[in-house]
Amino acid sequence: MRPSRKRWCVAAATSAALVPLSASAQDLRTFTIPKPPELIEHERRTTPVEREPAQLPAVRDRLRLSVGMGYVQAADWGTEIAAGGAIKGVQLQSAALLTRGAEGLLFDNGALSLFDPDLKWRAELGDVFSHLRGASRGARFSWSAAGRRQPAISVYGPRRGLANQSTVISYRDQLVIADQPIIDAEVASDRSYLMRSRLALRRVELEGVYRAVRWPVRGRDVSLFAGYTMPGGVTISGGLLRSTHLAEQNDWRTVALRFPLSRHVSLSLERTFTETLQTRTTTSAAMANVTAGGFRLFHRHQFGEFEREYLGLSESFERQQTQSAVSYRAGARFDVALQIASQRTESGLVEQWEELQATSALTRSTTLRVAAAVPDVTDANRFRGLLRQELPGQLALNAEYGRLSAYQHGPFLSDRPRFKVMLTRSWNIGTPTRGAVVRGQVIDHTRRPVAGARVKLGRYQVDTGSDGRYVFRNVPRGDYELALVPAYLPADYAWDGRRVQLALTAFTNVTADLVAVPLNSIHGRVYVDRNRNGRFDPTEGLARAVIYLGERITSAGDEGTFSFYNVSPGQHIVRLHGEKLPPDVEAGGPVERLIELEDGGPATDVEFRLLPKVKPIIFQPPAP
Amino acid sequence: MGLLIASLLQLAALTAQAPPPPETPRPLSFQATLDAIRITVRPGQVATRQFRLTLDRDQQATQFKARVEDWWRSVDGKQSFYAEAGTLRRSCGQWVSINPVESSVKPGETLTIRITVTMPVEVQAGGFWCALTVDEVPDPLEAAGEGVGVRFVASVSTGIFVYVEPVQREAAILAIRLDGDEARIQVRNDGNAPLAIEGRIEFFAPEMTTPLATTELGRRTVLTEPSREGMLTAKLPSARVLPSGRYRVRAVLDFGADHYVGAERELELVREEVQERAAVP
Repeated sequence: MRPSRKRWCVAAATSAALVPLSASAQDLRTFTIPKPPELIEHERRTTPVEREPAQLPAVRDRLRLSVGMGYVQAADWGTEIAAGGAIKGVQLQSAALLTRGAEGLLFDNGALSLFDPDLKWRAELGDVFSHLRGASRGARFSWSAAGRRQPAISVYGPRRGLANQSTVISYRDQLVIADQPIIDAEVASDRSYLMRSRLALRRVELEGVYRAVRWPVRGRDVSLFAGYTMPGGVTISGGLLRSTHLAEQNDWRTVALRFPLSRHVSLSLERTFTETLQTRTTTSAAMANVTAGGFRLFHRHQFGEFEREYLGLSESFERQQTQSAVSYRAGARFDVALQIASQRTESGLVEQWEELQATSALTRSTTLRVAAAVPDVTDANRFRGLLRQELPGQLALNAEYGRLSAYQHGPFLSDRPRFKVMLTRSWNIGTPTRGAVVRGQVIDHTRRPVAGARVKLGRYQVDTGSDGRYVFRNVPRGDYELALVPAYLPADYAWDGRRVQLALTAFTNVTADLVAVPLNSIHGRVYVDRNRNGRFDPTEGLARAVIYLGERITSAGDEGTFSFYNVSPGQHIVRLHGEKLPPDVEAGGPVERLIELEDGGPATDVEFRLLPKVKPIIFQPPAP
Repeated sequence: MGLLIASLLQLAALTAQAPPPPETPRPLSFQATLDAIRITVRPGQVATRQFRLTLDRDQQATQFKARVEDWWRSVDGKQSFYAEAGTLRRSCGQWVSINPVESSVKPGETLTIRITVTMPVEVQAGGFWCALTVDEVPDPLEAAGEGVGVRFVASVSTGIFVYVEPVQREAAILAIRLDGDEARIQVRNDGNAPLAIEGRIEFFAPEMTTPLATTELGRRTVLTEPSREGMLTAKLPSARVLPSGRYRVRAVLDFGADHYVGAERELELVREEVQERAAVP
């Protein structure tokens, strides 16, 4: 239980808890009462004593592992395993689903990805996506090569449930010129291949793809896309796609125009032509997109002609479709979205579809997500709800109701609303880390170490030791600025302001010194040499005389003494403000002194000698 | 870090020969970090912290001068004393340097003073303390011209506490007294560092195990020199709650250690209100 802020909350202390110390002659009985351990710990954490405020890179990476087990009503069991984090700087992502149902125990889906951001290699295992083969199962390894290339070797295995498959090996490589992937090609051992070229300039975007495949059927796809953004943000784009598989050829052509009317509103026009072996569609569409804060509105109106040849007959009809979606996000705890779609054909047939989706964080540990038909939210066939409850001990419970997908297709699969529950347990695991090492010394210009200076590397900070040395270990890769923190530089030093820019990888080991300037002081006196003996004597000091050191100003104390503190080494001019002197004194020497302030110590005996003004005696000639 | 509006704190520097027509001097107003600066250091370590003072926007540009000095309080806590740094054996003043020492601050500007503690390699364990005092000083250009007039100058001090492990925190209650409407607890610092002591007093009727009334003792710092002793005081509950009579008075104090110290004794309490009531026929 969290202890009270009131530090000496011993209201429950009874005589039994007291440890007697003494009973004095004046009947004063003394005792001690031990504090509860949790209160001692609370006080230790909240006592306002500043300790070393070092903010150093983490000494361990983190890996979060989650294992969940779920059940679908009248269907099957499943186990989900997910992991995300890093080990020794290598980023790891993994997700897998194992199921047991009508088809027995299956490794339903899963993927493991390892990425080294420093050496830029990536390894993938399980479900991998390929532009050549689409979603596949296999393994891939890619690495960084000269010319900003990222070659990859992949092995694609046979997929469950598909016959006549063999294992395929592919190689992918690029030709990169001026950061543009001019050629990105993949060729496989089954003689399928893909070539892709992409050019993205400031206003123009071009992309062309050619793909020839042997599996599951022989075919090829050719596509071209071009976009141009005009001044003012108006974008015109167009695309062509021809897909030929066996004897069937499909064509798709589109042109679109997008007008950004304001920061919140954009309008798009689109015309699409699609032709397959049996159908031909011509569609025109207008879309509006409005965003303002958490509010978002999307509306699409589409109309066109649909032609179809079926059993030697040809039919053609016009149809109109509208689709609207409006959503509002009120912060992180609540959002709601309404989607409405309708389709009208020339025969007058209207299809209407509405759905409301809402997500709410009911408490810090409870989230509710609901999707329902509107206005009939009680329609059980359309209702779907998900409740997520975080539980103590890194447990979480997900309970769903609605028309759910089972883990496996099976004989028990039904289309009625069902209940699904999954219990997940997570673990945060500390793993070894790696990173750059940045070390060095803070020194003055004579290379003497400066102890206790705070050094900042990006968001990390550390104070130098008594030898002026500092070290940052396990620094994550990135660009950093190394500097001193002026507010935490020892008071008798100034910083020369020089920073060091560093680009670090996990394997960087760099030494960088920073320079601080030692400060010193100038002390002196202003006096009126009343006895004209050329030196200061007691009572001759002149208070309130004004003295300058550059732009700094001070006034002399009661005995005429003045000081300037925290002055950097070098030449300085100390000047007496002659116009602010009392009217009865005048300068008895120079009012400017050139001071050479050295490293060894302060400059003292900077004296300004004044003399009392002598009233002239004017002899009047005798009157005639 | 608490901010406190400090308005005119210390005294008037008087330079008078023939007073000018009286003008109402405008009190200086600023905000400053008045929480004590507490640093735990190792021998040989150098540590830097800040003191900030922000001049209110409706003020004129003001010259400030900072210095480090020793301070202590009278045993009853009612008087503060200041002396040159190094006066006390447990002074940290000789290890503290500050930057800037003198500076002009414009309205709305913040003066940040770096305070650096450079610990010697060989130093006793325990707590050391001193104070940073920032004085408003007359503008040198104006002061030089004036020979006459009254100037009010402000001054603000904040404590600097430096701790070298091992810090021993120990306290003893020497006496419990009731004096009029006030309860007084005399304590002694038996450790090697200043103690911030707070606590409460419980009043038990004879043979009772639960207190009839309680009162809180305000937080007070008890140093280790020049006196190790201090007095904590608390206002007694009203006579209606705690009428005249004989009580077992128990004090329980928290001084930042892993235990409380307590003491109790029986005392006769005489309340003035009760006496007056008794005098009325």
